[in-house]
Amino acid sequence: MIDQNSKLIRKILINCAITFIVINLADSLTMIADGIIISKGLGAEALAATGLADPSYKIVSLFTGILASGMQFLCAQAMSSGDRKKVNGIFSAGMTVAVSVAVVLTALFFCFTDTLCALFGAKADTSVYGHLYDYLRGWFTGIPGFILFFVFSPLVTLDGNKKLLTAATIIQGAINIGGDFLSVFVLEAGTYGVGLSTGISFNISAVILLLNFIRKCSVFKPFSEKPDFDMLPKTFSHGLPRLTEQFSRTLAPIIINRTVIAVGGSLAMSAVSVKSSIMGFCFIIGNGVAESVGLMVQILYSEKDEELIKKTVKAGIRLLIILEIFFSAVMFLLAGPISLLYFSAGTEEWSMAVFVVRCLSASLLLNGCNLIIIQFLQGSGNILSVHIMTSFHRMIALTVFTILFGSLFGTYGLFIAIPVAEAAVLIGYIIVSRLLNRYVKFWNAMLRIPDGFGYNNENSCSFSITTIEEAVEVSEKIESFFEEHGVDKRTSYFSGRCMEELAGNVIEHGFTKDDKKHMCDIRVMIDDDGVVMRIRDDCKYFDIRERYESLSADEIESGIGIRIVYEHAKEVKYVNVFNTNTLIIKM
Amino acid sequence: MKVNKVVDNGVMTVTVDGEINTVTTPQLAKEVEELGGIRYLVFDLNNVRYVSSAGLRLFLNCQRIMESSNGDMLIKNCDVLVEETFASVGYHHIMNVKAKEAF
Repeated sequence: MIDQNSKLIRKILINCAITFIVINLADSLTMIADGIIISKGLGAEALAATGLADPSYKIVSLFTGILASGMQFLCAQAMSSGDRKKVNGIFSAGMTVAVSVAVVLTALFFCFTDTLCALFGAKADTSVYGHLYDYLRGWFTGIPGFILFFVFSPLVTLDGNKKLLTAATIIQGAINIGGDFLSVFVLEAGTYGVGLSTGISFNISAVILLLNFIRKCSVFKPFSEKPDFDMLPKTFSHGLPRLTEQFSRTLAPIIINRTVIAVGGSLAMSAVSVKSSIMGFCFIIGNGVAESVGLMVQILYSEKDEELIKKTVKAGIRLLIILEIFFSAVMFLLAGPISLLYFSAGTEEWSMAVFVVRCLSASLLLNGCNLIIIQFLQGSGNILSVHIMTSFHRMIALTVFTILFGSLFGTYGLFIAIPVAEAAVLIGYIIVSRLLNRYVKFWNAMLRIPDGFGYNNENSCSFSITTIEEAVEVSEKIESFFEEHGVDKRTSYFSGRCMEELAGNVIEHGFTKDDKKHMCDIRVMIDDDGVVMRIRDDCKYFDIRERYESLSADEIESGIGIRIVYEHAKEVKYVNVFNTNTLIIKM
Repeated sequence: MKVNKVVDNGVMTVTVDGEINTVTTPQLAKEVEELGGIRYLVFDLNNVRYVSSAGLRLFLNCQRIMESSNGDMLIKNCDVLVEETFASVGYHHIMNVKAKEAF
């Protein structure tokens, strides 16, 4: 029996990471295209106005980020324990809050557009003010879609519907860019048209994502359960790191930009602007891999699967190293041509920009590692550590090193601070984690896995199977394992029998439904409540609960295996996460 | 799994030694493929530790064949856990399943 756990984890991780990378790439490209159309068609003042509108997105996305991130965490936890009722209670509560806030924000923003324009820095009776006002009125129509799109996205990922999420993101980008083009060059609708296309694109993409929840196999059924408002405080507390992130992201540039201007003047600042404009594009890999690791850890942490958690993080780091080394090398080599997009070759600002791009490319791998750590801490519910790590990563380290290196080495020192700050955060995390957990294994210290967490070799065992013969063999081993560990004979016996039926079903029906290669991983555990068995496979959606409920008492020849399982198990839970069938049976 | 089959005067006695699981059931099925002329089919499960759904399905098929030919079928010497397996899917109502002690 080959251990296929790692393969399954790698497969899910790569699929997830590709989805996130494509989504981030589509987002970055949309922003770039948006900027080009506005500047070419409407001029610099219109571009400046859309830049001034940025805080309005930040306000909406701050709320959305907190809600989405908290919901994702709690839903993943409930899903890993197979508790659909809880999942949908949280989902319904989150939807209610999202829709209510969307309505209130849209109304408020429409009523106080003038105030917002002034707040965002546009002077009344100027052309920029007019552009900004028009742009905001257009995009505010999309606030409900914007909020729902970002609240739905992580849930659609948990549901394993990566294709729909990718399609919705690409369609959003296409409508946004197409709409901008039409508004500017055909309809001459100006910045109002540009804002409106953004709004429409988010509303349409939210509706597309909504389609996910009407799928039969979706775990999330809108308002199928009473909204669980009691979970809201927990939802917001798990989403709060987004506030720290946003705060650090806003504050850091203010301090850093002042230092850059003081040390290197406007030339250095223009080189830093190049960094800001390409940063989103450069971070797509790090963000994509880190988000995938975080999402998977949320599931595995609730399952207390220590080994699989470590395998996931290691697989994430390996994937990051492979992709990021290649990407960084390309960026490093193309630093010159990239800087040519902004400055003429041979000028001082061009040389600075080349140096900044190279420093940025040198920091990408380190940045990705730090993002994985943050996402891991978030996934494992270590909220205080997320706040600390985010503050250091997004603000403190870069600010301190920029000031320090700027005063020590001058203008170029400012840029060297970028990779140095990333390295310092990573090394700092490793040292502090080691100091706080001196007597445990390296990975346990790094991942802050507490003593006595989860199951060990004494009270759990895992198998991977691909044939019926292996299913039978594993069932016997499971029976022996339980008996040897003090579980009574009857429970051990029927645990083995149930496993043979379930694992056999996966091999017999799941593995043969298509021509793809499949995996089935089994884990059994003993805890205070008794015996728990988990079967996970990557075959076609199959909900044992639905099958059992469809069986009639007269059909004695069908579903015999499932009847045996339901007759002897205390609890049978099914959930489909990341397109894998996960069955949890308590005996 | 070892299977011993004896046919005597219309009575077929099949003694099974081992486990009747998904892998071994086809072997047992082959032994009871031909039930023509059999009036009484007896399975002796004294040395059977367990019966899986595949095995249960085979017993159900045999029961139906015997019923259609006005014959009878007995499953005897069942371990208490094997008997419970039959009961868990309601087969003890349609088949004559006897535990070790009860026979």
